[in-house]
Amino acid sequence: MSEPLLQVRGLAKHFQGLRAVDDVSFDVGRGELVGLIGPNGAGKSTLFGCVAGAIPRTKGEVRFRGDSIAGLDPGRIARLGIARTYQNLRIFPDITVFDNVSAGAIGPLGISLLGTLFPPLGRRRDEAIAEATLAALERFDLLAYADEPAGNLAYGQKKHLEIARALALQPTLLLLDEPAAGLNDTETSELAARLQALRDAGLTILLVEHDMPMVMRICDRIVVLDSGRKIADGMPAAIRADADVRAAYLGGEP
Amino acid sequence: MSRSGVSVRLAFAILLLALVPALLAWAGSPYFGRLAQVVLVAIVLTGALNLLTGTAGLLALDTVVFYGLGAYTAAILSVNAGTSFLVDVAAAVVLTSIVGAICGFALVRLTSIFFAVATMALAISFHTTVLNWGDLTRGPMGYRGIPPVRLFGHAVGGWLESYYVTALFCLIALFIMHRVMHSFYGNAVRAIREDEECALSLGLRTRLMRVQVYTLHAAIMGAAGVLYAHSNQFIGPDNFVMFESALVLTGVIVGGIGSLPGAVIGGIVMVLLPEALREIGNLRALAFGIVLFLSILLLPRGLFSEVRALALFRRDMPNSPWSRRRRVP
Repeated sequence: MSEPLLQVRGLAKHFQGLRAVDDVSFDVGRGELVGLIGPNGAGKSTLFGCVAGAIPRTKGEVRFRGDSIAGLDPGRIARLGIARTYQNLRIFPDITVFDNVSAGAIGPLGISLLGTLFPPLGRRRDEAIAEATLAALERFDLLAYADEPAGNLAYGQKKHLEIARALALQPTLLLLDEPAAGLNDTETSELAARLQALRDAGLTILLVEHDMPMVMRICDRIVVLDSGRKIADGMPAAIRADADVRAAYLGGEP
Repeated sequence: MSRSGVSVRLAFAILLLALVPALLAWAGSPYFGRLAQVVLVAIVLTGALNLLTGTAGLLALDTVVFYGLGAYTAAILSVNAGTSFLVDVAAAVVLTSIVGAICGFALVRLTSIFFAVATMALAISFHTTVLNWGDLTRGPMGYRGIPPVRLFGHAVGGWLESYYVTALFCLIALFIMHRVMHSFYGNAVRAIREDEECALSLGLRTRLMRVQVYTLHAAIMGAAGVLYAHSNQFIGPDNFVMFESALVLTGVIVGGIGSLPGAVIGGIVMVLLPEALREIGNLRALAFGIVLFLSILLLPRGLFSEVRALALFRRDMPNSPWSRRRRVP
């Protein structure tokens, strides 16, 4: 077994006195779908932000494919192959669905002004961008809406659009921050099926989620945070039975 | 889709290169020839500002800086050294690109109101510099007797010939802006405008692209300044006051922010409307103001909105899956 794709070691983020993330270590192996759960305020989103580079960490190490990525800017991290979505929808509402997703494809592939002014020079890159965009749209059944302004989509489709845009980066690791929030049961199970299909296609996914049944059903492994600390890490069945996890969720003494 | 961007572009080129000159020749008056050239220069300015303010979302008031740099480059070179038109254009484009890249590098750290105020400061300092650097700019006197366009050794003296040079240049500038705005490059720039932090997390090089757009807009405006200097044959500091920047910005907003056809319409309106209102004398400024106010109030997205413009040109974006060559079901 080669080394894990993502290694988090002793990661901490302190906001003045508050230890939002406190000495957390865990691994995500290649091709795994790992769930990151915990009660409100457990530090999941902060941890997420630290891995993606959006929030500067206080201390600790984050390694991606064996190389340290802690302290790099979010753009570099994205171009290295880590794509993310946001907890509160951050699509570009005024531009079309196709253009939204193409922005994701352009990130790692890059775009040059010279190739834009002289299309023959930029053709190969433009075609790669178009291909990645169309593949991501197709995977989330958004091709029919490609020319619609993104703001016109239904809420569930906007959630899908955001994941499709992240997918257009052709990432090795996908970080999803509460993709099921606000979705109804049908939409949630549709999303679950899509995430499993992505995992089966070889993509590694780290999923922050509140929807417990979905996490239990689709994740290979689950990491549980409470008050910034990791309290459990294991298979869904083991997590379900874990006394500390139950205490954290039910508010009892561990 | 019956109307495509290709036919719109072709129709516009025919309009500029055949219909308008035919009309001008029929009218036979240098006044209309001169007016047509002013309109063409205005179109280039609103187009370039629209690239920066519309597509990239950076509200800028520094139009006169690069427009003025180009005009003064042409005036100083052609009056003092007798250079030809193409040398003037090349010199102006190089100079405004360098100045644009330096200013852009400093300015892109700022956004929204801070960017706008910084560009306003640039415009004010440009005007003051031109006014006071007498040895180079001849101060408040300005440059008189700038020779008409000289191409390949002979002077393009007649107003119809001179119109053709301006029209050709305007088409080239519009084509460059079309390529930039209606492409994946334009998509990326619009994404940065909509949500910079999110665009950064997608791996887009937000600062680099903003500097590029700023530099390109500066170079296009610089070239427009060269045309203005040669066609007007006189330039002075009063041509490059802040108010001129605001006028170009108004053209961008009236036409349709972020829309290239809108910029063309805006440029035409900003020149022709005050001319048409000349009849009513002193009430002209007031009427002009009322028309602009109503236009912004009733059509906030402009006469030709960005959404419509992008829908029109999407299908002939070079190398896109929507282009005729590779149509996707």
